[in-house]
Amino acid sequence: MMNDINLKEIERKAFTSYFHDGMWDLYGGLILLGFGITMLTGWDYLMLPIVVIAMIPLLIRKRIVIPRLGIVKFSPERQARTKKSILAAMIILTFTALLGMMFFILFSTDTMPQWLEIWMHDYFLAFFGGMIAALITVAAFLVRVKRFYAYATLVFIAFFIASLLRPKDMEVIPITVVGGLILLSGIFILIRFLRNNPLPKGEII
Amino acid sequence: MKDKDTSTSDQMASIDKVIHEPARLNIMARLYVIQSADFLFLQRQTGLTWGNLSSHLAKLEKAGYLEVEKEFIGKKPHTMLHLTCEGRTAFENYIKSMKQVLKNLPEAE
Repeated sequence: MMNDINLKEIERKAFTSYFHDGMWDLYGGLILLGFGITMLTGWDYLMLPIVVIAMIPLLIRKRIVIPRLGIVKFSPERQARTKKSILAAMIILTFTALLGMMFFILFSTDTMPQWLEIWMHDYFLAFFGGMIAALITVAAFLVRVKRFYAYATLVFIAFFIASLLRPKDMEVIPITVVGGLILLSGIFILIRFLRNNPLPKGEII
Repeated sequence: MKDKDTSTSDQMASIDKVIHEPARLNIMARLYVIQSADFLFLQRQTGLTWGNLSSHLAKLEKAGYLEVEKEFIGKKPHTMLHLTCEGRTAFENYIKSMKQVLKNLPEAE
């Protein structure tokens, strides 16, 4: 019996139970799909409504998850750990943004070294995909959800292939496919979540 | 040898019977790793039925291991459950006692 009690695993399971609803998957899938569709059609203004639509699952998430899973307050140690992890994520995000800004300034002021300009021209999508994949990896580490690591890998591969297909104007295909796959995965996880966690009937204490 | 047997028997006798029941041990372990949770969260985590969970919670509360607290989350009143200091200590002692008992038992062949 004592072997069955792994307190760290119990705590991890309690914490990750809030991320098995598929809403973040829907958000990521919709954004990628939207990115692909925008590239395909060339209608840049489509991106804004797509981002707004993609936010819907996150906005209604609390209303769907809490009534089905209940409420928990984690230990002060866990809360402190979460704060530290968020701080680490913010630092990485800021660093990535600064890196992006530096490239933008170098590019717009024509001060970018030629070798870097050629490299950026050829591999910009792979670089962009790498940044998104890094952010998803940080998120996966923070919430300890293993499938997010798979998404990060898929996103990086999709953008890398896209950069190779760019000269043939086919870069939209891998990005749209991966966006669709993540979206489908999110729908599947959401359906499973709703089925496994129906709204409680009767009185709850 | 006899002394060791007596010591193991004593240790077994000192095992907390309130916690030793599997469902209650499950509840105690889940509440030990968090600060507090509501009834629904515990039900989802333990997989116990409403009635079963209620009766075990009542026993733990009667033993002084668990406290029921009414609080407001947003504007809605909510019932949160948490282990008392006594409950936490009892759970830690239970784990220690069980480990000791299992350590003293002969290896299964």
